[in-house]
Amino acid sequence: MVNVKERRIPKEKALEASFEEIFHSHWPRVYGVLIRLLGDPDEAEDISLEAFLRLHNHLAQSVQMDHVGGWLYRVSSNLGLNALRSKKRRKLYEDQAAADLMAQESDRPDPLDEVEASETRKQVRKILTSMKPRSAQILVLRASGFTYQEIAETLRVSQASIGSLLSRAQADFEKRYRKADGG
Amino acid sequence: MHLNDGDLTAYYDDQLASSEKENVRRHLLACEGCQRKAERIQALRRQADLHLAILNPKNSEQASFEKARLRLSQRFDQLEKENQSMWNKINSRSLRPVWAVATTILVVALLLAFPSVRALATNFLGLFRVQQITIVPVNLANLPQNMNSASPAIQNMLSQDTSYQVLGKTETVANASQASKLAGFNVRLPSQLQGSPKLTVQAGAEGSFTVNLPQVKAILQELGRSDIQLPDNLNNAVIKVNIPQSVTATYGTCDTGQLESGLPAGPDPAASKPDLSALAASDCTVLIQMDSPTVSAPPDLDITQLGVAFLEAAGMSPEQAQSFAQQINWSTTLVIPVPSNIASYEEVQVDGVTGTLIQQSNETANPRYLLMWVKGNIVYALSGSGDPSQAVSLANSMK
Repeated sequence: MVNVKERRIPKEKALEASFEEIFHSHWPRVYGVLIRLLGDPDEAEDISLEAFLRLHNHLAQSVQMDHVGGWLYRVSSNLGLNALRSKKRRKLYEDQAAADLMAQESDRPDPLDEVEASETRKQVRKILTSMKPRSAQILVLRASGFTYQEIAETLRVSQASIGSLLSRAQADFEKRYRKADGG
Repeated sequence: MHLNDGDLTAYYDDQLASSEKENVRRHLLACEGCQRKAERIQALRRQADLHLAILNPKNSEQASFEKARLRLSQRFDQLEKENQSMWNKINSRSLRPVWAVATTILVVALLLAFPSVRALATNFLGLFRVQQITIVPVNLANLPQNMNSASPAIQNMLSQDTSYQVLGKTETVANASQASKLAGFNVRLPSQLQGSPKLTVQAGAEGSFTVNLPQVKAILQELGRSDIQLPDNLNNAVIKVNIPQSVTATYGTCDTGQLESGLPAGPDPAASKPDLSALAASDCTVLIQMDSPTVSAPPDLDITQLGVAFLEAAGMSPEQAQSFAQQINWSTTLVIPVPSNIASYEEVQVDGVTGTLIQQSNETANPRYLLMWVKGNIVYALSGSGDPSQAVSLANSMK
């Protein structure tokens, strides 16, 4: 068993080195997508790490991947949306909105603004979960500063189709937003 | 041609190649209809941007790379520990020769292939109980290296989507009646064997397994069997396994410690042909008996289709698998893959029922046999070395 370990070392080293590099270059953006989706730093970090653990497993099994970044953003945005959708989660972010509010009230000149902002965030996330997952993903990815090429790699669609996917997602989002707003 | 919403969105997002960008710009100058469309798109885009910008992280929510990196390391450490204990648990459940390999395969096989049929009728959680045992010959010509390359994936699947919990402790008992009391069923021993056995009652266990269909498909792909069809509603199906307490009686010199302590955290790639005889001296005879494990699964799974997939994965042709699967009652039959170049098998009459006798091939220095049968809901497995016909007579002396 010892020699098995020894045999594995060179491959493992290469794996760890490339994984480290990937983590370094992609983690901040993965987190950026998830914090937008979830609003809770701890949870966003947790799920971003989950995505990287899965990536590590894939790499360890030498699964072929064309676009590591695309894979990561796809997996993490899916995980994020699932987490957002789950009932527990909904309860959690309601609590968190309240906690936010308490924290803000002490140092904010106008707590009412923050009440409203917190309500709106809740609303926007609710709308995102009610949309087609791909539409929600595309909106959040763009809001996180992704280029069309990066979005295309993440959603595994052609770059040429991103414009129309986005315009449809936007229209759908705005329609739901107006409806939720009572308009 | 006029501009569509997609072109215009890409244009305002500045995501068009420079030539396309120029085309859009020119067309806009000339086309009033498109100008109106462009205004609408711009307004929509501005609004959506504004509404979504509220999700941008606040200062207090900014990423801390160092903290995340540290937590990642902690997760890795934790996973490694879990993986190890996972395998230790699975492997220590097997405890005895032959079972070491068999249960590892079985756990995976059970999890994947034995939800119930009864459930279809009752529209309730299904239940699988072992009432009979069937052997599937496995073609090892291509399987060992496949199994090896798949093992990290399987390990991965087990660690990610499985929870496994041992209920209680393994206890050593003095005699059969004590064992019966602890295990909750009547423990029988072969009267033909001399001397008193070492008797232990292994704790039961329960596990649940959430099927991650993409991952199962990835495993099949690694096995080179992406042609195998699986029902779509298998994804996220929760399959629960309940393994009751088991009673093990060992006679002679059985090195059980080696299995508990010496197994690697994962399957050893070098041991594609495990030499089980190394684990037990020739005078070691082991009898395991347990109430049937049960497996429950969501009612709407197509069990026969799963069975076919399982048989194909074990090396059958699609036609063979189809016809074999139809003959099996998947809710009551434990299907054991037996590699044909390592062992042979036959049906035997034993203990008043039909049992299955598996023999290691003679190439092994110290070939062992495994005799399995089911009587009164109790699954028996008897393993020893030497003349396999002796196994039958031992089993017939059960009291």
